[in-house]
Amino acid sequence: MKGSVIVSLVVVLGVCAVDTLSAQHRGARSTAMGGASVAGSADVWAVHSNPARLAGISAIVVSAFLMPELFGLKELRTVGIGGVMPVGPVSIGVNAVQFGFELYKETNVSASVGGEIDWDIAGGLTVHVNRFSFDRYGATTTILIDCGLQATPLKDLRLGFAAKNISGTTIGSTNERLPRLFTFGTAYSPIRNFNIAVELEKDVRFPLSLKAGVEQTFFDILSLRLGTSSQPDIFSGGIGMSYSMFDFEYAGFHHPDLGWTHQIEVGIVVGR
Amino acid sequence: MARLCIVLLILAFIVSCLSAQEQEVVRDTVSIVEPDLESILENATQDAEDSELIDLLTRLEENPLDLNTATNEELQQIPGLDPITILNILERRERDPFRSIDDLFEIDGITPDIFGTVRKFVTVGSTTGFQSPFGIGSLRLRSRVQEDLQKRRGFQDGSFTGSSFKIYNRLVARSIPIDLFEGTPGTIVEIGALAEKDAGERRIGDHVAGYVDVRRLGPIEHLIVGDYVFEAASGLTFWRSLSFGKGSDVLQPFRKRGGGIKPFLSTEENLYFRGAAATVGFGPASLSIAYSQKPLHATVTPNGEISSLYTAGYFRTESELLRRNTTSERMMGARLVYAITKGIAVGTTGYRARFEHPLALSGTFAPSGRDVGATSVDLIYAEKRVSAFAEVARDDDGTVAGIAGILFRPVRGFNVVVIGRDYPFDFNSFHGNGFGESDGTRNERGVYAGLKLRATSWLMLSAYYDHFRFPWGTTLIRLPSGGHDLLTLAEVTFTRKLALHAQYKAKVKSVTESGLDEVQRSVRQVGDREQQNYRMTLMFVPSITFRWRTRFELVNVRYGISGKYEKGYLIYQDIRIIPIRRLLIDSRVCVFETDSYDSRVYEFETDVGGTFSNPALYGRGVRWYVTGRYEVMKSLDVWFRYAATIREGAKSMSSGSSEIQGDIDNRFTLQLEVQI
Repeated sequence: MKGSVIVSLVVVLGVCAVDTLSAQHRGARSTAMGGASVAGSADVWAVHSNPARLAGISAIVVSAFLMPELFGLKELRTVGIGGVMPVGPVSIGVNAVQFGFELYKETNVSASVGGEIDWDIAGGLTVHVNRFSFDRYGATTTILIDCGLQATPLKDLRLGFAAKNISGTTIGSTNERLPRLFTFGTAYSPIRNFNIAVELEKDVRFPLSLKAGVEQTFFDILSLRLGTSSQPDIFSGGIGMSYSMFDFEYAGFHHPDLGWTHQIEVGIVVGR
Repeated sequence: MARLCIVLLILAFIVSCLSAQEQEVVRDTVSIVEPDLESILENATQDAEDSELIDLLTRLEENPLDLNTATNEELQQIPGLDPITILNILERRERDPFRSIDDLFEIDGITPDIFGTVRKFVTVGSTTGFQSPFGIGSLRLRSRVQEDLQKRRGFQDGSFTGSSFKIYNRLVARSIPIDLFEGTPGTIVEIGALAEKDAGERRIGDHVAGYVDVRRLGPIEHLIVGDYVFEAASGLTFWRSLSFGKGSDVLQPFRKRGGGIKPFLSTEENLYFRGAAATVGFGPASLSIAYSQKPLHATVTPNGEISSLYTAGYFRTESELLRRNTTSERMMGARLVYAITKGIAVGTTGYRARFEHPLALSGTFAPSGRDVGATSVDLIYAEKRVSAFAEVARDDDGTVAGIAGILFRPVRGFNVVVIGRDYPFDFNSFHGNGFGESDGTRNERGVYAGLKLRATSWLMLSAYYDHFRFPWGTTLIRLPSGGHDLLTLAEVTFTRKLALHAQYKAKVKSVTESGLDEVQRSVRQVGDREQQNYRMTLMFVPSITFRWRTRFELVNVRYGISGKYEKGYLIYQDIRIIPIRRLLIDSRVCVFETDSYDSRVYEFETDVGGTFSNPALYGRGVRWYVTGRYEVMKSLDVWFRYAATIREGAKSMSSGSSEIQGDIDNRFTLQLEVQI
């Protein structure tokens, strides 16, 4: 019954809205900082936020996250795994993320390339293959292209820009376009081990969303993070630990009406 | 087409990744102080090809002035140069001729940003922009095709009689200097021709223009047969339609000085003359005379009167074609300038024009009858710290209008400008266009004050305030009205590569609104419309091959009587990159959202060579473009551009015959430029 309600919800809201919602929280660090990650430092989930960030990858990194219940609904579970590695002058990244349950499932496999395109300028491209499956109604597969840029005008200042679904992909043979998102952001480190990230994100169909987050790292081991975003209004927080070649992350965010959602992530860095 | 552009983008990115380590730039570089045409043209809210102002800038670029031989009047045409700076240039070259344009940095008044604007338009040691290897002359051809990829209603219902292509061809051929008179710079003969067709028009040469221009023929500085424009002094008697008006370059209104007669080769289809004109120099004096006999596009009533002039320039439908060449104008004009000293010049200008049919234009004090005319006297004065100008004009009916201004530079890097204007409501200057809030050079009184201060090496502050009154009712407001306009701009240069511009603009202007009176009856009332624009632009130029620009602009509009409030914003990301040798790409993605057309936002765009765009963005959507230039060989450039505006979910865009079904309005442009 609950599953049917959720499928109905997906149909009513449209696949696009659900896709936007689930795509916001890929990577615990980004989730904890209110989703402000377009100008952030390199990580596995740059594939989704801004592929230009991959240019900063200097080691092989593999990471996996689990968001067991979105707003307390077990059916809206997201699980993802990804890896990145430097290859010559560029870095490549591969992600696989699955969202949903047996009645409605969204599977996303993405491949990215990012690299320096000029002094202090990086660029990147991502190709996503998305499969939407509706139990008893069939399935459809789409291909999307994202692109991104990142600039480092000062040692402590980064600027980021990402355009998602520049291919204007629609779902199946319908005219319903998957979300087109444009993100403009900055990340600044006024003092060592303290980072501030602010960004504006615009889904062409919806109002502008503001995202902001702060991160304080202690002894290069422990990181505490706080964040907030509008559209929807969300407060978030998280903690990260780096030990040897392992990274452990936790993030949680709170929606005033829908409650808490939690996310955990484990990463392995080869050659840190 | 959108997908094709994405593929091109991807290819450009891959190529740029592979070649990032070894860039070699042939012709263009990107710079933090590159010529900022936006500050000059941002108020020209029209599409590129229709602007004759861009033609002026193109001509200046194609014919850079020699810093060692250019006259005072010629130097006044260059954006960024004011009379004090020009005087400093003239004095410097007398003492020590310029050896390169970099010597301009030694001139008081030339800052890095002004140098960035000026350097495209000046040269040292050569008077022509392009030299022929054959030694007989040179030739420049620009050919452009533009196509809207969505069908407009006019093509679907058959009201547009021609094809959907917009076609533009422009040819300029110029001889090398020919020594006809001993001891003088050589004579140059230039021939120009232009043929243009708008989308929906029938003939490839729907609009044609051309000229033969002989320069420096003994005492004859210019002899033009064909199409030309005439600009004089501050524009009260003669000026083309667009001019350097209010903008983020706050000193620009002071620099508005006419350069006399100039060949015309623009797609603007109205405000030019056709006939012959010449400028003759006699030592410190020069005399320009002009004769023109030109057809006009107008609505002529059955009783033989001109009820309205048709200035849109489109002849696509039967009703538009009915207004084509329906009457004509014969004009004779002259201008005499006498330079008393290097810094002081006086001039007088006048013209008489006769129309084939009498004018009966709407508006209480609009020009009427078959004859119009105006005369003026003007003065310009410049010395080390102060410059001033004044022009007083008188129309046929004896109404007198005037404008005067002063520029004061007490110390290097600090400029103050004040300009006063008084154009009576019944002043009729048919061919003039003086500086002001509204077009028409009439019914306006105002004071403009601006200052520009280089506070430190990293901070430039600019501001202007313009207070204006319309003492008589206008077509839209039947009562006296007015308003004021304020702009402040801070340009912060953090490093040589990183700069931030923060601009605030506020404008209050009277409008007519619907309201309720004491007994709740609906009445039209005059109230204030307040508009505020907050703009922030971040520029990062890490190398000569890349430029990054991010802009955020917020607009608020509020009406005094109804209390109606609207808002809008725009954010764009812009890059210019030279990914491989010979290829330059300009690209921008812009998201916008406004409550309606009233709170629209503008963004100045780089277009293919010789054009610009300044589209109004409103509603909710995204606009993006890619403009590229590939140098196939030294003498051949290929330009391409794809631009699209998407209003997600809209059922239609534009209106009338231009309406498009759907939520996308996209256009492709291809241009070839040959220089031989």
